Amino acid sequence: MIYFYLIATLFIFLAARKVLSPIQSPLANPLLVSILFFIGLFSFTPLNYQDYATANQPFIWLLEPAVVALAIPLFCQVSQIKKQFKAIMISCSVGVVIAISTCLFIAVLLTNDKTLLLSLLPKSVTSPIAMAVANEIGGLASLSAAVVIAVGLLGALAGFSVLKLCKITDPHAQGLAMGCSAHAIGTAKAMEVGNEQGAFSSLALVISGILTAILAPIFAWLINILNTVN
Amino acid sequence: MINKTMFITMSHFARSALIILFFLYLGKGIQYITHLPIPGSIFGLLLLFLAMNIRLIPLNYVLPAGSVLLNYITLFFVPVGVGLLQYSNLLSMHWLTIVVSSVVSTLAVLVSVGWIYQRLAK
Repeated sequence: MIYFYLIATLFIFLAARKVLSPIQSPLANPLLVSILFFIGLFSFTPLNYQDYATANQPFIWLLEPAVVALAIPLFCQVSQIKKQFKAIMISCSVGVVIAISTCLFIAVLLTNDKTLLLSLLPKSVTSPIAMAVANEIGGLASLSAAVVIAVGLLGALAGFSVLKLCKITDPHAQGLAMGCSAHAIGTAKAMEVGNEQGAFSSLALVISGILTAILAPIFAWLINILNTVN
Repeated sequence: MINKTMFITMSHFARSALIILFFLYLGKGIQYITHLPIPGSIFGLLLLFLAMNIRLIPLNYVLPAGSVLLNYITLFFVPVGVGLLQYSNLLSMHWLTIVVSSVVSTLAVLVSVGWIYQRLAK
């Protein structure tokens, strides 16, 4: 039964979604609980993670058509997007610059490992873009992929609570913030919260992904210049 | 026995799935030709959005499979997250830098994007 783990993923996720839905805590997140369940399972039992990875290929494969399907909520909000196009572009552009520069600034204070630094730069965008960018600028693609997933989970968990705390209540603003900071995992969370949040998060995912692919190499070039000066 | 309504529902589902796959592979083709660091699925998203806007593809043609995919998109991230296991060595080696820079940076982006948009859109 090679697909046992595929059914296990589906079962654990659906069970978590059902059990956790009445609980009003950001930690009662079915994605987080399911991931921790399986990480615990493979860390503390002799069961083999590789079998799990092989069996779950169909779900990994379905991610790509699911990203294409994000065109649907985008299309449903097209009049709002056209109306606010300038505000969307400005806030996403600032978001991308802040994502790269804050990460760079803090990482420089904590490490002098250049490969680590370059791998962290594309951490806010969807993993295929982040991995391609990391490769291009001399980072480690697998390290970027791991950080991207962790950042996405953080955004999905804490995102909406932080936004509410900061009085950011506009559904469009919430969506853009989730998509810019937590890419596709944040967008999946935004889709659960509402259609408007989902659509604007998808939009931010696309815009910030493309802008990061353009801007990250420029920041990497700056790091290289500063390094040669030192 | 498959009755007529069931057949129509199934064929509509198949049509929507094929349209989504067509745009995915069109996007992958573009990525393959251009070698841009942008994944095929993102090109596919943009092209499908464009096709819907120029009325080439009506909404109800993509809705059956599309809504199922969107309903379960979070589920598809479960194996991605469990995959963090593979990187446990790499992550634990640099955990302090990774945790501090990602947490601060993620919160900064979240709040600044939300705040700027809320200001500009009024």
